[in-house]
Amino acid sequence: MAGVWPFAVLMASCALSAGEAPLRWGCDEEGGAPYCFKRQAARGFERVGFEVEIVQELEKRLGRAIEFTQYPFDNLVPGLRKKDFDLAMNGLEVTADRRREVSFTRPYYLYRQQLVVRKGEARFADYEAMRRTLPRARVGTMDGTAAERLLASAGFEVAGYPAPTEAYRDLGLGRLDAVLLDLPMAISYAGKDPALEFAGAPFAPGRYAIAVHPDAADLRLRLNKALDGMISDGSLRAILERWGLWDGFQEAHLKGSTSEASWELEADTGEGEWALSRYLPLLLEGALVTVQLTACSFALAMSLGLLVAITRLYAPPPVAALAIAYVEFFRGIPVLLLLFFLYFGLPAMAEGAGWNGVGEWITPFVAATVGLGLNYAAYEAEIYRASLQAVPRGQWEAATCLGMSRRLTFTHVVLPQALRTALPPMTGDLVALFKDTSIASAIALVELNKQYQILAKSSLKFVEIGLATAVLYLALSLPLGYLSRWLEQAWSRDHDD
Amino acid sequence: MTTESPPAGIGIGVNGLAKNYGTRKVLNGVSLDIPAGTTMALIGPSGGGKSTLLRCLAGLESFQDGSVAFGDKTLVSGANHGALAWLRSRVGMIFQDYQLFPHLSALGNVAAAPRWVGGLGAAEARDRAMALLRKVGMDGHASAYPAKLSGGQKQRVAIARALAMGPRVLLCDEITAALDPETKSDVLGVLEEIRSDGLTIVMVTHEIGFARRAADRVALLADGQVAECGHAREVIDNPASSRAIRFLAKVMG
Repeated sequence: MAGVWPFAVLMASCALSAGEAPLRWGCDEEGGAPYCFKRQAARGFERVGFEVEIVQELEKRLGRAIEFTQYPFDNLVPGLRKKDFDLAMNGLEVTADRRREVSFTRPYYLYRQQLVVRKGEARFADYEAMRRTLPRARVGTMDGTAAERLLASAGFEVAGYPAPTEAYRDLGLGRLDAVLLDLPMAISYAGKDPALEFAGAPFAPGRYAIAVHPDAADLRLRLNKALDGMISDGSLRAILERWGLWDGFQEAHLKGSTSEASWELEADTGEGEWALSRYLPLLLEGALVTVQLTACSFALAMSLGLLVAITRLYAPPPVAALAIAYVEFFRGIPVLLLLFFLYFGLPAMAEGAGWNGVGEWITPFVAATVGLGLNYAAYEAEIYRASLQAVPRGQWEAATCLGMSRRLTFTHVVLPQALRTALPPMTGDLVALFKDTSIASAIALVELNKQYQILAKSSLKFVEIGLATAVLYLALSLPLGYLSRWLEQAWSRDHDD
Repeated sequence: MTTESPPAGIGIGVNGLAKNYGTRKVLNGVSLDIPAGTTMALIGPSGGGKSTLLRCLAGLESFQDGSVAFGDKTLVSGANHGALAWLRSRVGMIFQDYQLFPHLSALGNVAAAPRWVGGLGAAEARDRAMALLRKVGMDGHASAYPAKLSGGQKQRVAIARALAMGPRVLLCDEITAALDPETKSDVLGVLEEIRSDGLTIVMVTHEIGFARRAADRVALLADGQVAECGHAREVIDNPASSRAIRFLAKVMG
């Protein structure tokens, strides 16, 4: 009988762990060093980071498997609300706004902000000096971070990136005056970059804690117990030390950091401050950028598209083949890829070729205009080609017999007719382009969609600000549709058979 | 003479003209003499080469052999840039399907070439266009767009347009073929009036009656060759060749 007992215990524990599904851990491993990221290993890649090690420790202490779920950093709170995962742990700062939406455990790390600049420029010694000497500095940071809110409230021009890597790269390219991010990212990325250096000491402390759904009080309790255990037996310190993150500040404050008092950056922004009168001007600013981007990129698409169509139809075959290749190429690649190449890839290539300063010149607006323009030119070219071909050959002959040159016939007889045919599909494309400008938010251009994301994620008012943004998009795109129908009718009154 | 006289017609000499599309011979050694100021009707069965001959005269088609002479300017096979440029300003053409410019009004269609090619000012081009529209009886529709005009009206605007650059030769490619009998006679009436101005006119037509009445000479083309050519009444009333007899018996019957 005695031999049966261990077996029964094993069975029971198996039944227990089989009954409990693994906990799902929401985290963004993209550009996620030193929190959680992929590193090349002997066989393929392995997921590493100080949070990965904390999670492994928690698995042991909770007696439950924890499964990784990739989720965009700035959507972690809404994702948790939706129960896409059970806990969010990814350098998520405790803030009053977030505390209204989710529950936080005790902190496992105390972050501070680190200002990073290009090495040797010495324009300002630290953050306070930057505020005094360059109050409208363009400062990069990550979307949805405490640093972003700090910069925005200080009145800087904030460039929000989805990952720290892009922010530091743009700083190196001269597109930013400085980057302000949490110390772990600064250590992990900027600390290794010979072209960058820290400006001043880290400041503006705050707390990283694990977020759980407000309903999961029991899970929060168990996590708290595990974290407390890890702090008192030194295993958390050991992990942070391995990643170079243990410092005097953790030593002095981490243990007693559970009280809500005196954490300056977590101060409540106040519900009332996210009223319509506060975010509408910002949305309108974004809408203006969207309109400007639409106008510039469509102007480029029309002129380039016409050139491509003319080349395809009237140039000698080898040259016409280039036009065909253009259309196929730009219709075949995603715009997003093109924007990333123009914004990040091109400056790197130019620098490699010894041309400096290209990065400064290719602003997000320039890259978005060119990228969308090149892409839409391919579609416009096909519209113009079909419209030009729809003009009967007899029109060319009639003009020829009146002594008109080919060029004159094209500009005065064929093109005006073709443009009329092209107008309805062109306005359709204009509306599509207007909406596609939202892609430019991926290269840190603060247009309407990006502004919505920033505001919604800061205020967590996804529905209200979302509706306001949708109304703005509609208010701008609907008139375009009406204009196109009106033009079509006005012309068909005179010209249609 | 110090005053500008209306441009007189010039004679056309077609000599051994040959054209093929691939292996198919469309014109097989056509020779014709069209004296200045006369009207020549080209008749014959479909596919006989009438329209191709006309398009060669208009410079719209190239040809493989032979020549076309307008006065002292000669088009030969191959490159003819100089002669073609000269030809463009002196030969007008009217098409079966009008080919008016749909984005321009009747007046705009007629004024287009004087303004863009002739370099006339807007007012001057407009006056000339109005005078021509009056001549073809379309001055009341000057501001109408082609889509709002009937076939006969369109063709009369097309005639005014073809006259706008002051051509010496007018080429008409089955210009009444798409019209109903009533409007047909309007258009033919306009053409008879123009004929009296002294232009050289070459017209491809299926209107045998009109050709007999209004043309000076008739050439019957069949199988890419001139089957018979002569004074209009002689050819139509007393055809000599068996090809002409067969064709005329069919169309008159």
